Amino acid sequence: MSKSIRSYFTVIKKQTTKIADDDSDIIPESPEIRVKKKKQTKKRRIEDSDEEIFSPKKKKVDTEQKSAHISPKLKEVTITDLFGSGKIKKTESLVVKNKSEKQTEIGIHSDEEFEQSLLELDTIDYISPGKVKSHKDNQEKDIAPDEPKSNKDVPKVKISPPQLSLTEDKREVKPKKHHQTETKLKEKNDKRTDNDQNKNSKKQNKNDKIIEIADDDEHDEKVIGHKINNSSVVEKPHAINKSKIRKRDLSSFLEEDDDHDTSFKKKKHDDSLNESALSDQERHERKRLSASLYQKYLNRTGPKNLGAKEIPEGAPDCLKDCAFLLTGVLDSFEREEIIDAITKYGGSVKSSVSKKVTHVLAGEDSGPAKTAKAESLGIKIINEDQFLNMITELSKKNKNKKSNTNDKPNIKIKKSDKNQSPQDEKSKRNHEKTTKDKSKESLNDVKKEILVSPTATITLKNDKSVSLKNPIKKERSVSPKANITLKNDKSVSLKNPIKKERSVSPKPKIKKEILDSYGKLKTKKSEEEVEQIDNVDNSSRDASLMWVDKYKPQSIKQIIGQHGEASNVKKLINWLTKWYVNRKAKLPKPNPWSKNDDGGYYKAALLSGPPGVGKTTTVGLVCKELGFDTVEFNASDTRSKNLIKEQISELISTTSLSGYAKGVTGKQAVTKKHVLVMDEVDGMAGNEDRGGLQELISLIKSSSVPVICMCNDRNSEKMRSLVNYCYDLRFSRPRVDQIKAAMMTICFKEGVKVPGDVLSQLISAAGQDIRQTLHLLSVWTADPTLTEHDKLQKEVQRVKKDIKMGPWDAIRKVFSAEEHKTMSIIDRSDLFFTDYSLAPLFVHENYPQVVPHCPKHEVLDRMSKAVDSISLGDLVDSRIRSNQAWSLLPLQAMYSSVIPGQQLSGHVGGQIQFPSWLGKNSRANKMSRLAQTIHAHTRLSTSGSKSSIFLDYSSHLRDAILNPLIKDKNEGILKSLQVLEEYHLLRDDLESLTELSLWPGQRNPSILIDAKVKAAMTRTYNKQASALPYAPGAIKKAKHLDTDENGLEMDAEDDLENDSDPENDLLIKKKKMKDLEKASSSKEKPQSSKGKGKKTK
Amino acid sequence: MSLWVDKHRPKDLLKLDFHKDQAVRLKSLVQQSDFPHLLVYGPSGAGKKTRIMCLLRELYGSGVERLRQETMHFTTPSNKKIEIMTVSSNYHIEVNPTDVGIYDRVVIMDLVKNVAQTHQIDSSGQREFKVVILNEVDDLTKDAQHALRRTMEKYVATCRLILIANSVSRVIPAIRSRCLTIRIPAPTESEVCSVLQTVCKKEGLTLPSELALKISKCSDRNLRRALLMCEACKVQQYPFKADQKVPEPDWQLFIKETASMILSEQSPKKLGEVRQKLYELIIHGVPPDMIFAGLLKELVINCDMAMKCQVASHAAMFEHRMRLGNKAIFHLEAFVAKFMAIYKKFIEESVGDAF
Repeated sequence: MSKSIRSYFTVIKKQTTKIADDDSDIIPESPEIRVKKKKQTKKRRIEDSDEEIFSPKKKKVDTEQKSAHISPKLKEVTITDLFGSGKIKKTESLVVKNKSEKQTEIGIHSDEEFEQSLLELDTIDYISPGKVKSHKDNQEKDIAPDEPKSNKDVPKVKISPPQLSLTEDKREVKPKKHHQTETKLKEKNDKRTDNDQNKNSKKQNKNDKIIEIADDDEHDEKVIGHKINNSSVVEKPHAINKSKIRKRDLSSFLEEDDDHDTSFKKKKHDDSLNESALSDQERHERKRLSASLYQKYLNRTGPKNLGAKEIPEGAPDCLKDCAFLLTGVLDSFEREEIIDAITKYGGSVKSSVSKKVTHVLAGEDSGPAKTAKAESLGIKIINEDQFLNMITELSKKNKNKKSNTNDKPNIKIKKSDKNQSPQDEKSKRNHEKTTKDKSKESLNDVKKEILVSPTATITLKNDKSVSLKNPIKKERSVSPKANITLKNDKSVSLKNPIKKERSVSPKPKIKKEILDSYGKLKTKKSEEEVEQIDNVDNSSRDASLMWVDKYKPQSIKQIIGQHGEASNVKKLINWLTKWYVNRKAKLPKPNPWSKNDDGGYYKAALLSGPPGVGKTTTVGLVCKELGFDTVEFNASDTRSKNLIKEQISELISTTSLSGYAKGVTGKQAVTKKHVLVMDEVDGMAGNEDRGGLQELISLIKSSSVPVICMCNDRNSEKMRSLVNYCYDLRFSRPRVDQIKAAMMTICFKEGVKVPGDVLSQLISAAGQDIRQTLHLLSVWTADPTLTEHDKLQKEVQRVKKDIKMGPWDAIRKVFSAEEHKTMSIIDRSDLFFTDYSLAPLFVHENYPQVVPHCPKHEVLDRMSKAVDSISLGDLVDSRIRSNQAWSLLPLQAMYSSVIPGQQLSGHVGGQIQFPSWLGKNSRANKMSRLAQTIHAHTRLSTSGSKSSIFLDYSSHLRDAILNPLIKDKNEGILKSLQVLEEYHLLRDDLESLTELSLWPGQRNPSILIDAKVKAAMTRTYNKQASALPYAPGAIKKAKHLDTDENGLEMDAEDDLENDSDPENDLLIKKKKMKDLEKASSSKEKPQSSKGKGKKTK
Repeated sequence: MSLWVDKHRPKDLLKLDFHKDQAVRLKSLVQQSDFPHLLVYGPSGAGKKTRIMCLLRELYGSGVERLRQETMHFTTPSNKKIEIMTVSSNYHIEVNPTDVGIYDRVVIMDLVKNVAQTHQIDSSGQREFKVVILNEVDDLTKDAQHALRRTMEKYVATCRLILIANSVSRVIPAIRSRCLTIRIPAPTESEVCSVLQTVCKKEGLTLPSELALKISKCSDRNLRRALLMCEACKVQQYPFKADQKVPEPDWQLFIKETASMILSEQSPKKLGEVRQKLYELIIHGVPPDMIFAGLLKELVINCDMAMKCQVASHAAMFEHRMRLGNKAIFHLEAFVAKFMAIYKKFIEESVGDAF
């Protein structure tokens, strides 16, 4: 590749020599042009008058420097070197040649001209005073571009017209990467009017231009120049970027160029920046200036031609990867409009100049500090129009990117971009041939023409620039491109005549543009390819990853919501680092309520929290940070007692060689620092992991390494034993804004636009679950239709729906008239399905509290309709349970929830109550159990069924037993005991009897019995060995079994209901407990009374 | 010292106080030394069990009175172990299969088979069959009833079944047709009175006939209840007075209370309070159908004829639903709410008419 450059250079060298021969032809320059030039410079002078006042000396110094620069000896110290970090060495030979010429130039020039040239030089070398800010963009640009480009040419032109053309030509021919803007061309054209007039050249091209330019007034010129400028500027960014990023070392001139480009606006500030030492006067001057700038800022007006231009429609994300800094007042847009446009097209707007900023969009009165800094960072400064062009260009580019995949992108682009371009291409090629022929005939002439013709130089330069850029890109990009560019390079000299000929065509300028863009496109194309390759590299890696993995925190700092001093991460780090120390120091077990426990006592930590808050991530990163090797077991591993005992304890006692794998050698490679990570410990259940938790606990007790356990619900039954051995670290859900910030970053990285409010809604809809939020986001991006705000919002609603609702929330909705407005019948029946076993109970429990929104006299009617429906729902329920007819559930939903909800549509007046049916039912079961026991005991002497015990016997039997005790006290004992014996009742049955026969609002008659009497009665009862038809022991056993049996009954009922509801289970347990308590209390009672009796004795 | 109701239970068919012609017929039935399966039904407190025990005594002699309690163990097909208490003599076994809930089928199949398959060892002078008494047959699940019908035919040689039910309406026709159905109606009020008088005479007490009538009316023609009430009256106050207050069963009082609550105010709030009362009744084992009946009886007192029909039909409807459904409270409440709606409208209309 470098070869190609060289070859290119050599070609040019040859040209230069030729040009040197042709000097005389080109030299003459029209005085008009000169005058124009002068005018301009004068203008500038006037404008720059402040600076001139204080920097004449400097200029002189600079010119000296300049000359020094030109002289070969001092070359190294040139300012361009300083700024361009250029390696001019490559072009040394050329420079040397120039120098000799330049020296002669300097010698020749007149005083006045010298002064002017000095001025020019100053501007070129950044030392020239900055222009007054009131300059309009157009003006600035109009004037500005010529300075950098013609940095050395222009002065020379003025110094000596004959030599000017010479140097100019040389310049042009030189392989230097000076990017030529159209203004320069114009100038040249202007100059060439001289030439033409003098020489009467045949070139129609030039004639055309001359005519045009001559006719055009200044303004027109500006406009044209401006237009051209824009296109060239658009091109430049790429050149700059590339050169900056990739070939700093290779193409110093490019940078030089860039510097010129970027710096043309605020020379003044370059001045101040570049000057390491400033005189007091200068400082004062600067102060004064900044003060005046501030005044201007305060007084600055809005856009002058507001609404004059429209922001073009661009492809979405066409400004992706662009970061803008806005400064100054734009000509025709409000700042906000531009910001909107930038964000719309995927770009970002920064508030200060930094390396991230790719473009500075400067308007009128742009901040000098910003622009200066931007220049120093090599950031491109563009104006409004350039910005607009950029949008169109980039969006086109994007389109092309998509459409072009083969090797002929250039041509295609051309076709799509400009109508003329294909012709161009063809004609170029044709002319390559023709010129080859011609060149033999009149090579000299042709060359002269080439050199003189501005278009030629443009192409030349563009091509050069391309060729310079491409080789580097070619390292990655497809090589054919390089060849093409090379061809172009070679054909440069040949192409030019064609253009001259073609200049017959009425739009020479457009051609220039075309040519420009040709080079431009090429560079772009190759650039794109590089990018694409890069992207492919990255995307092939990333595309397969889920966002969750792609954006997984890489360091502790990145964990969302774990930044505070008291955060779990900090605690965990602290605990882990002190672990070994704490083992030696035997710490007391901390108070479970102490707040600032660092967990030193515990050998294990238990991280608990809802899913998707980063527990596992935290552990992974903390271990990584502290250099622990993790041995992880999660729910996918079998973690039974044996496996934990054998495998894990083995693993823990070994040393790790993972250091070797990471390339660490020596002692450090081998580490004994393990952490046993037991993820998802609450999943250690079932047959697979039988005894796993117990073993884990014993493992923790004996462990010589830290153990970290993780679970979701710390309070669950399963965790109860483990919790006592673990340092409790509870992860709570991060706040919405915490997650939002991180999500925004990711969205930006992915180029996804999600409005902030929608994002917050999404996060809260996902229950602050970071993982789920990410998944949802990535799903959204997969759907290209989801771009509108409203649609997204709908989507959020949909997400919300998936969140589980408790019966408490559901029941409010069932009766809420508000909710009914938006809910379909399906939605309402879905409320029933939040828990189909509990929902009907909830509805039944809470419907009397509902305040229906209807006339008062209708309330009862509606209510009765509602209960009617509930009762029908119960029929369906019974059918479902007994026949396993689960397909009837929707019907039950209608009867048990939807219809009552509809009838009583209003609002719930009070607190939502938990269904009392469950409690009452269990009480009823208990009573019936008691009755059954008594029934069984009294079976021999009574005839009735169980219900007759309830209804008739219980109270009478109770009275028969208790009344003698109440009335006759101790004398009644015998009587009551006789009753007991007669009915084969046990002492305990008396309690049951009283319970059975006691109704609310009644006084328990057993209270009336004197405690002494009671005790005496129990004593006598115990003394008496009454013959029972059943074995009392067996009965007692039977009683227990009875309860079991009842439990079974309950179970059976549950089976019947197929009720997996935990509440029921709990109730059963509670009931059993109660029973046991009852049994024990009833047993204890006599004993205690016995004790009392003894005491009294 | 037993309660009167058990103390003075007749033990011989001929000593029964009422339905004497039926007793004679039963006696002649067993005198043929064989009888078919029996399905004895009648309301509670009519003396079904007493009559059956008399019958058995007639059949086997006094040996049937030597009762013992046994617990039997069964295993369900789903390997669940269940126990059930049985009362048996040498000649018969009595069981209440509904004690085990939905597993009654297992009990019936295993128990009946066990008993039926074992022949009487000492058959000299004895019957060749054993008797199995099944209580509360109308509460048996359908499965159990179907299991029963095959067994009844299969083991007819070695065992007789006596089924006791309150109502045959819930006994499947297949069983009804296999049995000799014996209906034992509740004693009339005068019969109850006479029984009370005889009992009091045996106890050496004099019972005023007014009080006897009062008690019999209160007891709902339930002899057991009547005797228990009578004894309660005696405990309360003796010598009896004709205008003595008869202590009503608590649950009846409670139902009345509930009914008056419903009548006092018709509002959702009251409905909530009524619900608590209903729950209390259910908890205390009052059968929901009796709650329905009790409520209806109290509620219609204040209604005009047209409304009475309406309310009664609703009560019937919800009672029917209650039987089909699982949760009695839903249907009771539905009935209460319905009544409230109707009654409120009725009241408002009548008030409107008044003005």
